[in-house]
Amino acid sequence: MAGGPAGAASSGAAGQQIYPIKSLNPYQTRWTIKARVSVKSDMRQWTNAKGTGKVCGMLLLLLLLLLLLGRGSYLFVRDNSHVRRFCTQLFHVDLVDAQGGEIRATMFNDSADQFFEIFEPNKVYLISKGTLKFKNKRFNPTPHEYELTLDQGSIVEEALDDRTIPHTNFQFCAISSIADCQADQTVDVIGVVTEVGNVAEIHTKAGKDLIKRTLTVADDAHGGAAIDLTLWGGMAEGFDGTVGTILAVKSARVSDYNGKGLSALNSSVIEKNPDRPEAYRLRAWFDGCNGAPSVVSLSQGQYRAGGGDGTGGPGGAGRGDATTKTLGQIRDEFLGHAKTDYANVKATVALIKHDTDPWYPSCPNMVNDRPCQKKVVAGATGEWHCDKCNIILPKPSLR
Amino acid sequence: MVDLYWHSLSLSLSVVLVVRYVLTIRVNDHSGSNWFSCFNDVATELLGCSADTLALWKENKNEQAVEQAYNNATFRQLKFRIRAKSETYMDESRVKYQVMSAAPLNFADESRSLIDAIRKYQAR
Repeated sequence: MAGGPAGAASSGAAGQQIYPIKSLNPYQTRWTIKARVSVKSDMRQWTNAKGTGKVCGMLLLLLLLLLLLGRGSYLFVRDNSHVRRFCTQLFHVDLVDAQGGEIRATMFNDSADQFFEIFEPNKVYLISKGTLKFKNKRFNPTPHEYELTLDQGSIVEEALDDRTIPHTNFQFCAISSIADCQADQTVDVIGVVTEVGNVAEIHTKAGKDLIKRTLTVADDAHGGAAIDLTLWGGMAEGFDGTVGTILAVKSARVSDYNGKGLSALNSSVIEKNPDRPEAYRLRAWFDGCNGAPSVVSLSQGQYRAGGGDGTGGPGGAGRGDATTKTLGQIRDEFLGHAKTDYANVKATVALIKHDTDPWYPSCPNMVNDRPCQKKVVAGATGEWHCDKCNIILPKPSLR
Repeated sequence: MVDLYWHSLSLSLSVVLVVRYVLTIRVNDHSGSNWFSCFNDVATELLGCSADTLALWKENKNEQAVEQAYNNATFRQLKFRIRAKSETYMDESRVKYQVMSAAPLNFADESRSLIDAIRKYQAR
C-alpha cells in the first residue's frame, strides 16, 4: 500500500480513531477518515509555463529513450528523472463518509500515478496523512471548506465495505428553488424525466464540436416545477433513460440563459432510478398524474417555443425570457424598436412567400470545422464567389 | 483554402453547393398579422424538407410536390419564438422579426394559460 504496509497495518490494528470528514482542518494533522469514493475523475494533463503534461512527457521520454539507445548511452535513468519535471497531471476523488461529510482529495504527478491504481469508485478506504488546503470554489463544488491533497507520504488502504457510508452524498434542493440560484452555482436535484431531447451537435465559438442532449426533469415540490437538464459528450450519447425515469443528479451547474437551466458537468454524478425514498415519492407522484404532471418550467429552451411562458410561475424571469404575446401586442408595444426583444407568439401561417425561390446557394468553405454558409454569387463567366471567404468556386453545381 | 474543400466535396470536377432556406412568411392571429423571416433550420422544420430537396424537385419539374410542401405548411397554427431586432439597411432602420423556433401547439400548456387568463378576469 501507499506509505508502506507496515504503517497501514499498525494503524489499522491499533483500532485508530476515525474522524468525521466534516471535522478535517489544516491545523490538525493526525487523523484518519473512513470514506467511500463517490466520484473518481479522469487523469488530467495540461501544459503550463514549466512544461507540458503527461502525454507530452511520455513522448519526450520515448524520444529520449530512442536517442539514447541509438547512441548506446547509459544515462537513461538520470534523464528519466529530468523528464519528470514536465509531468503535470492530476486527478481527484470525491470522498463521502457515514456522517454525511464530503471532501475532494486531489493528487498530483507521481502521487497521481500511484493512487490512480488504488482508488476505485464506490469502494471504501481508510485515509490518513494528507494535507488540507483551502479549496478553489470555482473548481471544487463539494460542501467542504477545504480540499485534501494526498502525496507520497499519505496512507490509503482499502477497507471492508461499510453500509453506513452512502454512495453519493446528495443535498437535494427543490427544482422550483433553482429560480433563486445564481448562474454557475452547483446544485443536487432529483426529478422525473418528462422529456428526452435528441442528441445534437453544436459548434462552440472556440471551434470545438460538442455533443449535447437536453432533458426536462420535474419534481413536485412547491406545486411542481420543471427545468431543462443538458448532458454533454458521452453522457449525452449514452443516456438510455426514458420519460418517467427518475434521475438524481449531483453537482449540476445552474445556467441563467433563456430562463434557468441545469448542465451536467464532468464532475456531476447521475444516478438513474436510485433506491431512495425521494425517488419512490416522485414515482408515485408521476404515476398519480398519469405521466403528465402539471408543472411550471423554469427553462425557456431556444428550441422549444412551446415551453412555459412563465406566467404565474415562481421565477422564469431570467435573461432572454419571453412572455407570450399577440401579434397586436408585438406591434403596439414596439418590440425590437429600442432594443432586441424576444417573444413567444401563437399564430397561424397564412402565406409562405415563394414567388422567387426562398433559398440561396451557400458557401461550402470550412471555417472552424463548419461550412461558412454565406451566400455565394455567380460571376459572369460561370464561377461563383463568396464575399466573406473571398474565394472563387469554379463551376459548382447545385447539390 | 479552396483546395481543402475541393478535394472533400467535389466529385469529378464540380463543387457541390448546398442550398439553404431564407424564408419569409406571413402570420396571422386575432389581433393582427406580420411578416416573419425563417432561416434554414426553422424553415426545414416548417416545410418538412430541406431546401436541397425542394430545389431538386423544382429542377426535375415536379411542381406538384413543391406546391404540396408549401401548402402542407400553410394554415397551421404554431407557437413561434421570435426575435424582434432593429436593423439598418440603406440608411433606413426597420424592425425585423426572425423566427428562432417554431413548434406545434402544446394543447395542455395552451389550455392552462387560457385558464390562467380567464381566472384573472374572474378575480377582478
